Amino acid sequence: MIVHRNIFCAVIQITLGTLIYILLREPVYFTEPIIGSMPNTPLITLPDNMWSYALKFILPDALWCTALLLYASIIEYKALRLVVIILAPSMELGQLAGIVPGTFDPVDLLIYFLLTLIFITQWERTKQKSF
Amino acid sequence: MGKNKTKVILGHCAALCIFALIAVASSSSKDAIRGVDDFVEGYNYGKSLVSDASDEIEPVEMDSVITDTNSPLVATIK
Repeated sequence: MIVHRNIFCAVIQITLGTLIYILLREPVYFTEPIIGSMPNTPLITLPDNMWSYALKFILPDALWCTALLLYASIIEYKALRLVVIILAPSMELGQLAGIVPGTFDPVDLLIYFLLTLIFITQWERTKQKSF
Repeated sequence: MGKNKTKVILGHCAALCIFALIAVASSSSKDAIRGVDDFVEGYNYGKSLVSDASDEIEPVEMDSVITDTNSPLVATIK
């Protein structure tokens, strides 16, 4: 039951992140097939402030990372779970090294670190409760 | 039992690949060139507002901004 709930939540989070990309961000590779070839402008233009930046650039990454961590929580193999947990920071560091396409953002790395910390803390607490 | 374990691990690996693919597809965006695009667009727009300057300054293309070191735009940055 928890497995299904976590997968459902992960799918919802990925969907929300995709919606943000489609509506608020400039077209990217995966949104172009959905909304077609568009000029390099977002469908909805937000004012240029900190909140818009957080909504457009940080929230989708945070949702993706949370979905990834939720998925990690249903994996029973420790090694595989570890691989899933380190995927998000690895992708960001890969961008820094130029291995993964994209723009490195230290804020993303910080968000991934905080989310992973919360996930591990919650995971330990849940494990302690179940014993 | 062994087959089941393999199937489960393969399923997880597939899911992991999907997550990685989403990350790559979303980061392989035009974001990297957005800064230059916006800069060029803003420059051309600004130039169009100043009608007196339009005869002296040619509209710039992204390539010329990057390659032409004698461009007035690059000179401004310097």
